[in-house]
Amino acid sequence: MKRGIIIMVVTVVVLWAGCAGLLAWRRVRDAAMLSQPYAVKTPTGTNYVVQLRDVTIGKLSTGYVLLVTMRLENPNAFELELDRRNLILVDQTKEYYWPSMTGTQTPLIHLPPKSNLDKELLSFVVTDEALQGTLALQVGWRYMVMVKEARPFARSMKSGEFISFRGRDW
Amino acid sequence: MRLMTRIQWYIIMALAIALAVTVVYFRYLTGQGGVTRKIVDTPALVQQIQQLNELVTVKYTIQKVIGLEEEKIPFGSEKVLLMVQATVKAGIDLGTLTTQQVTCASNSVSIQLPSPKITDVYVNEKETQVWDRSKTWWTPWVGFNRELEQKARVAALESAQAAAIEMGIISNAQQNAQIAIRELLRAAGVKDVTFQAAK
Repeated sequence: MKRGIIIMVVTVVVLWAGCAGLLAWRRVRDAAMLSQPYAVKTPTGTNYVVQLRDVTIGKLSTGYVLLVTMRLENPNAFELELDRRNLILVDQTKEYYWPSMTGTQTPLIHLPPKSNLDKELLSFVVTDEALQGTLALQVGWRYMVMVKEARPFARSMKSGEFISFRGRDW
Repeated sequence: MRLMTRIQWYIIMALAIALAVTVVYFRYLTGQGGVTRKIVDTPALVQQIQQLNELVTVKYTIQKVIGLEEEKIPFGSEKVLLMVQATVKAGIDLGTLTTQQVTCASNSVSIQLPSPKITDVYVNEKETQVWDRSKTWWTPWVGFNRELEQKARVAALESAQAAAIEMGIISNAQQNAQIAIRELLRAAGVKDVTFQAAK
């Protein structure tokens, strides 16, 4: 009797630990996939490296705002100027969103030679429909990076509430 | 003698009527009030309008409560609740106005103004404070993220900007610009000022 209870408890604990471990592994893998570095080569031959850090989604009274934090690296021996307007967000219906270009978010992103910008931010104001499917960020000529998976965003949020994710599964 | 007096009287009357008609014409029908009519010169006009650049800014001050939750990898989360006061400025960059966008007629001017836009958004540090900061109790190994507050400020800026646009800051900026330009041109003697939508 006593042995049976011990076996049951151990089984439950092992199952719980297994599930938690599997979930943890999945989330770590998802985070690694989001923060995978992409070496972008432009038609003119210059290149830079883009690495997404996290994605923050915020509810506004009219829609949503999406903040994409990324790391930019310039491995070249010369300065690069990236036009923020080329870093556009695309949803599943091929609706395009330009990043905001006010305040600290200047239209041109300066990358000095052999340097990196650890926390460059792009912000997009998107509609509710944009969150019903996949979202991708164009980080360069023909380079699309997936920001969100196909599953619709179903979390209910209040106006002024923001959630930050380090993965695509949200 | 009597005939001559009568002719003189007619001539004097005719001159008086002609003078009265001339005065009435210049005083009321032209609207000039006896002022010499100014010739409107397009490049000079554009330069005058461009000098108004600083006058057409609209400033909104917006207070927002921002709650930011950061999901941790693999488990747990951290939250920050921020009370933010942000200033949003909008205006029309009149420096980009060209002579092609200004059409002058005899005494009227038609202007195609550039589109108004948000020119600046910033947080008022003195009026901004953290209300609450917490993390999931069952993840004691997770440390507080120093960057979370900064991220919440950025989120607040985006939120304030969206709120200002919703409150009509763009149309307000356009109206202010039109009023300022109209006043300037009226002072310069232009009677009719019309504005066309930006293409």
